[in-house]
Amino acid sequence: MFPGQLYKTESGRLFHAGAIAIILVGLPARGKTAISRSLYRYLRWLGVQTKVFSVGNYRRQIIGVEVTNDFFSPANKATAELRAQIANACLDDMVQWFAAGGQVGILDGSNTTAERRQELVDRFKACNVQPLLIESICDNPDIIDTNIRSVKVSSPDYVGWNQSDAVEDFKRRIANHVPFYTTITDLKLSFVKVINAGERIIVNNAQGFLQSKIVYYLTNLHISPRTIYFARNGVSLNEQSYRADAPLAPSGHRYAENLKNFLLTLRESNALSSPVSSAPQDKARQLTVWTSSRKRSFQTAAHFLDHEEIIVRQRSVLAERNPGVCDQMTPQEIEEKYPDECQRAKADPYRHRFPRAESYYDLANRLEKVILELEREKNDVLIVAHESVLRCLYGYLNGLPESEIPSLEIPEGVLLELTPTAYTTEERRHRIPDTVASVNWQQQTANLMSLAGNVPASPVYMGQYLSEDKRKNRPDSSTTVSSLASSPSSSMLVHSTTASPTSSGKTQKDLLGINQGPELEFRL
Amino acid sequence: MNPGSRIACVTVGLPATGKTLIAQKVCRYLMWLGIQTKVFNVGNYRRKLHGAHQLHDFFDPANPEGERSRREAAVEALNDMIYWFKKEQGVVALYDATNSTRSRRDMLLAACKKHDIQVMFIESVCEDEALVLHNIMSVKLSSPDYKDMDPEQAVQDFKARIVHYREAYETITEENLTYIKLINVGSQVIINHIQGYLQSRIVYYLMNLHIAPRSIFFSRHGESLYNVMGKLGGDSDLSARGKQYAKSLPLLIATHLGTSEQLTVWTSTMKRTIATAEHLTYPKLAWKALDELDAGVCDGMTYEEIEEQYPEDFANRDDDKFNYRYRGGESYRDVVLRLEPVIMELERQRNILIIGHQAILRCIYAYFMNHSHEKLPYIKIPLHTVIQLTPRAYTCEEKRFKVDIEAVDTHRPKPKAGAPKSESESVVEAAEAAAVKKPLGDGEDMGAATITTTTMSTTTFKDGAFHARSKSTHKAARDAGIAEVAEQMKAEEEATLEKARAVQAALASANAATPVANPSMALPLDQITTLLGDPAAPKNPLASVSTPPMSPLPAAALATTDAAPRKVTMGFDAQPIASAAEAASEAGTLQEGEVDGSANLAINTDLNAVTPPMARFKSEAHLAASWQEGPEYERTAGASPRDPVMSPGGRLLPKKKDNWHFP
Repeated sequence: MFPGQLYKTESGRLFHAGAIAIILVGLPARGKTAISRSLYRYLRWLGVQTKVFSVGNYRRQIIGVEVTNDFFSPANKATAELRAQIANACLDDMVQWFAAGGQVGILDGSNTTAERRQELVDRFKACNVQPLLIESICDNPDIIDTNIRSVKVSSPDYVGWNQSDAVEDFKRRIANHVPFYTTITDLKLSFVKVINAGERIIVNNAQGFLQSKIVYYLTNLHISPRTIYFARNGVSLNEQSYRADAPLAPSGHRYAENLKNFLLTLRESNALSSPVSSAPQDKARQLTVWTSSRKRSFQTAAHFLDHEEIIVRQRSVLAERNPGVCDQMTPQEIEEKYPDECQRAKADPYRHRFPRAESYYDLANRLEKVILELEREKNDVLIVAHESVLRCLYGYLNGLPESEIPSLEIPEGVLLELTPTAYTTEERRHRIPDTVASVNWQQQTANLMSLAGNVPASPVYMGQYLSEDKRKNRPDSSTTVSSLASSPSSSMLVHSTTASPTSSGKTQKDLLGINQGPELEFRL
Repeated sequence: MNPGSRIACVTVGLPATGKTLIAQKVCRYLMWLGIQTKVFNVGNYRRKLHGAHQLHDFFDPANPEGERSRREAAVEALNDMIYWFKKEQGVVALYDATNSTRSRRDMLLAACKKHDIQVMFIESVCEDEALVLHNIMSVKLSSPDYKDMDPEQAVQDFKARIVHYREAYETITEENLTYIKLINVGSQVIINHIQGYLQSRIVYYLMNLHIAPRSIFFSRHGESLYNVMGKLGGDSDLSARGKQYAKSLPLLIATHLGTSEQLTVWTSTMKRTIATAEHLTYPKLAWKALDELDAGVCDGMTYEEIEEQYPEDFANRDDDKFNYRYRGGESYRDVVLRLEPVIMELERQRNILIIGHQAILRCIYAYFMNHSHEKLPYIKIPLHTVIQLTPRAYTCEEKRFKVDIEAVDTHRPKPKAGAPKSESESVVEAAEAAAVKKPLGDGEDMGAATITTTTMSTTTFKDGAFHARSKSTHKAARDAGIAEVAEQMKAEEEATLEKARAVQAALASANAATPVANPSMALPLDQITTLLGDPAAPKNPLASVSTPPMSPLPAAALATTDAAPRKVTMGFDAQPIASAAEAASEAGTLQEGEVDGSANLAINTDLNAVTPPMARFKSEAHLAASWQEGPEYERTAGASPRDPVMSPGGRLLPKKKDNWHFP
C-alpha cells in the first residue's frame, strides 16, 4: 500500500523526522510537568509515538511518598545515590523505549546542573536520539505561587497535609535546588528557554520537522484561565448530504437561539458565582464564536451576531469530515456497496479513508492550525461545528487515544464547557433548554420557513436578516432569560441525542421543569 | 476593523543582514493568505527625497546633514504607513529600515501607539562575515544606489556604510517590547512578548525560513482518464499517455536535480498523482492537503454539463473564480487556507518535487511567484510539464520542461465579459490567433510565447486562443473519442512536439550541472528562464511609478473583476474590500494617494472611528461564503435535477420528518 496514510508507518515513527528526547530543565514549580503533558497531548494527537518519563513518579514508586524536603537537596550526600539511582532507572527505561520504536520521549525532571544535562545529551546522542532541552524559567513569584497552590499541594506527595504547611515544605524543596541550579548556556546544544510562561522564548539550534513544531507549539501555550465551549450545529434541511451543504432547518434556527440564550445566561451566572478573589482580568474575558463555513454551522453561530460584543469568526478549516463517495448513503448502503472498505474501516476507524473521503486522521491534521490558535486564545471560545470536528478537538483537549475519537459522543442539544487546567481538562455538560417557544413562535417559524430556502445564507445577509427579523418577532427574551436565571442549576448530564422540541402548548415553566435535576460534573 | 489587529512589523539590523528579504517574504506570505500587507521601504523614500548615489559619508552618524535627511525619509515612510492603515484597512505593514538606534525605535513606537497600531520588531543579527558579503554581492550591488559604479568600489562603499551604522547600532534589549531576534539566519531565535495569533504565525514563519540553495519542482499528474473526457474532479486512473509521462519523469528529474542533491517527492492522496510518482525512487510523502480542489456537486461533470445544470453558478465562478466555492465543495480561497501548512513545510525543506493537481499547483505557484488572487485561478500549469523554481534573493527563477508526450489542455481561461468586444480586444485576439497558427519552426519563439508570462496582459492575451481550443477539445473528446482528440492535438501541436523531441534529446545529453548555471545556453530550445516574482520588490518602488503599472488588464476583463467584489459587498459598504490585485500592485509601488499621504493624515485620522456594521463578523472567507448564495438560492438549487436538496419543482423536501417542527 502506498503511504497514503501519511504518518502511519510500520514502526509507528514518522520517517522524515528522527527520534527526539525532550529534556525538561528547571526548578520545581516552574510548570515543567504542565509543559510535558501539553506537549505529550499535542504530539500524540499529531500521530507521533510519545511518552512522558516522570522522574517524580519513579521516585514515588521506588521509595514512596514519605520523604522530607531535604531528601531533594543536592547537598544531601546521604540521599544522593538514591536520587541518582531513581533518575537512572527512569533514563534507562526511556532509552529502552526509544530502542523499541518510540519517537519522542519526554524526560520530566529538574536536570538543574550542566553536568547532568551533558550526561543526558551524550547518552541520547549515543543511541542516535536528538536531544532537545526545554528550560522553564520563572522569576515572577505570582506564577510560582499559583503553580504551587494549584498543582503541587494536591500532588500525591502531600496527601493529608495542611495546605500552608505543604506550601512551606515545597518552597523549602525549591530552595534546596537553587544553589545548584545553572541555566543553559552552551550554545552548541539545541534548547528552548521558556521564560515566565511564554512571555519570552529563546530558541537555539532547534531545527527539524518536529523540533520546529514543538517550538511553535510552545510559543502558543499560556496558563491564563479560560473556558472553551463546544456545541453542535443545528439541524439542516438535508442532513443526508454533505455536498448539498443545506441551510439550517427551522428547528435548527430554534436550537441556535436556545443555544445563544442558554450560553449567555450560563456565563452570567458563572460570573456571579465565581469567587470574588479571581483576578480582575478574569471577568473581562470576551466570548468569541468560531464556526465553519458550512451553512448549517455558520447559520447556527450567526445568531450570536445580535450581540455587539461577541465576535463570530468563520473558518473554512472547521468544516466537517468529507464523506467522499459515501455521501448521501446510509450505513447499510455503504456496507452493501463497499464491503471491503467497511471491513477496513472497522479495523481502523480513525485512519481508514473511504474513497475520496477524509479520515479522522486527515481531519485532525487539517484542524492542527485551529488547535494552535485555540491554545493561544485567551478569550473564551465557543466552537459551533459538526460532531466529527468536535470529536477531534475534544480528543485533543482530553488527550484521548486516537482509537477513541471516532466513537466519542458529543450529543445534539448539549453544551460542553471545557476548562483547561495545568494537567487536565475539566468538563461540564449542560443540556440546552428549549426556551424560545412562545406565542410568537408560530410566526417566527413561518418566517423562517418562507426564508429557509432563499435566505441569503451569507454571513452578511444572515446577520442583517436575523437582527431585523428578531427585533420584530422575537419572543420576549427578557422573560426567558430571567426565568432561566432563577434556576441556574438546570444543567444536567445527558447522553440522549435528542433536543426534543416542545409543543407550543407547554408553558415555560414546564419547559424548564424538564431540565431540573442534579448538576453533574466529571473530570477526565 | 478592530484596531488591535493592526500590526507594524519593524525590521531592525545592520545593512545587508537580510531585512528586506524578510520583509518581502512575510509580505508575500500574508498577501497570499489574503491579509492586507504592504512593505514600506525607507531606503526607497531616502532615494526619492535625496537621490540615489549617496556615498557612505551620508550614513555617518557624525554627519548632521545626512542624519537629518535620513530621519526625514523615515518620517515620510512612517506617515505613509499610518495613512495606509487608516485609509486602506491595512492589517500588517512591514516597515523596512535599519532602525538601529533606540531613539528611532522610540519614535516609531510612539507614533504607532498614538494610532493604535501594535509594533513588532524583527531584528536580524548576522555575525557571519561571509553571509554579509554574499548578501552585498547578490543584492546590494544591483541596487539603484550603486548603479553605474564599479562593483569593487561599491562593495567598499557599502562596507563603509555598514561601519557607520555599527557605530550607532543598539540591539534590542527592552524587555517590554514585542520582538523576535533572529541570530545568524535563525540558528538562534529570541522571541519576546508575542501577542495574538497573527504575530505568532509570523514568528513561526520566520523560524521556518532558510536561505540554503534549493529547487522546488512542480508537476501535475500525468494525463488522467477524466482529463481526456473533459471531466472535473474524480479519482480516475492515468490514461495511456499519462502512464507514459510517469515513466519519463525519473530521467527528467534526475537531469535537472543536480548529481549530489537529495529530493523528496510529495503527492496528493489521489490515484493519479500516486501513479505518476510510481517510477520515482526518491522518498515520497502523500499529503491529504494536496488533494485537488473539491468541486462539490459538480464533481465528475464536464464544464458544459455544469453550464447546463448550474448556469448561475457557472457564471458566478467566471465572475470571481478565486472566491467562488463550488456548491458543497471548495473555493480557491479555501484551498489556499488548506495549503498553508504545506507552504510552511515547503519553506523549511530543501529540494522538493510536488506532483499535484491544477488548482493546487496554481495556489502554490502563486505563493512563490507572488501572483494576486485575481490572477491565481488562471495561471497556466499544463499537463506533462515540469516547472522548476529556484528561489533567488527576492524572486524565483523559473524553468519549464515540457515532455514530449501529448496531453489534453485543461486550462479554462477567464471568458470575456458579455459586453461587446472593444476594438483593441479584437485586435488582440486576431493577433493571438495568428500567433497560434504561425508555423512553429523556430522553437525559441514559440516557447517564449507559450510559457513566459511576465505580465497579466500577456496571460489574458494568450488565454483567448486557448479558450477556444480547450473547449473544442473537450467537446470532441466526448463526441468522437480519444483517438480523434489525439489527432486534433497532434495537428495543433505538431511543431511543439518536434521541438519537444529536440529538447528531450538535449536533455538526455545535457550535463546535469550546466542547466543550473546557464540553462538557456545548455538547452536553448524549450527552456525558458523567467524572472517573475515580485517585479517591484528588488527595484526602487518609486522608480516604477514612472513605468507603466504591472497589470494592465484589457478593458473588459477589468470591468468584470471590478464588478465582482462590488456585488458581494452589499451590507458593508463602509468596509470596501480592496481587490487583491490592487493591493498586489500597490505592494511595492507608491500610489499617488500615498505620496501626499502625510498631507491627508490630519483629515483622515478618524476614518476608523465608525466601525463598519459587519466588521465584527471576521471571516477568512467572507467573500467566498457570500458567493454562491444569492437571494435566489431556492430557485437555482431546485432548478437542477441533480440537486439533492430540492425537488424538481423547487419545493423544499425534508428528508427526515423529525427535522420539521410545526407548532
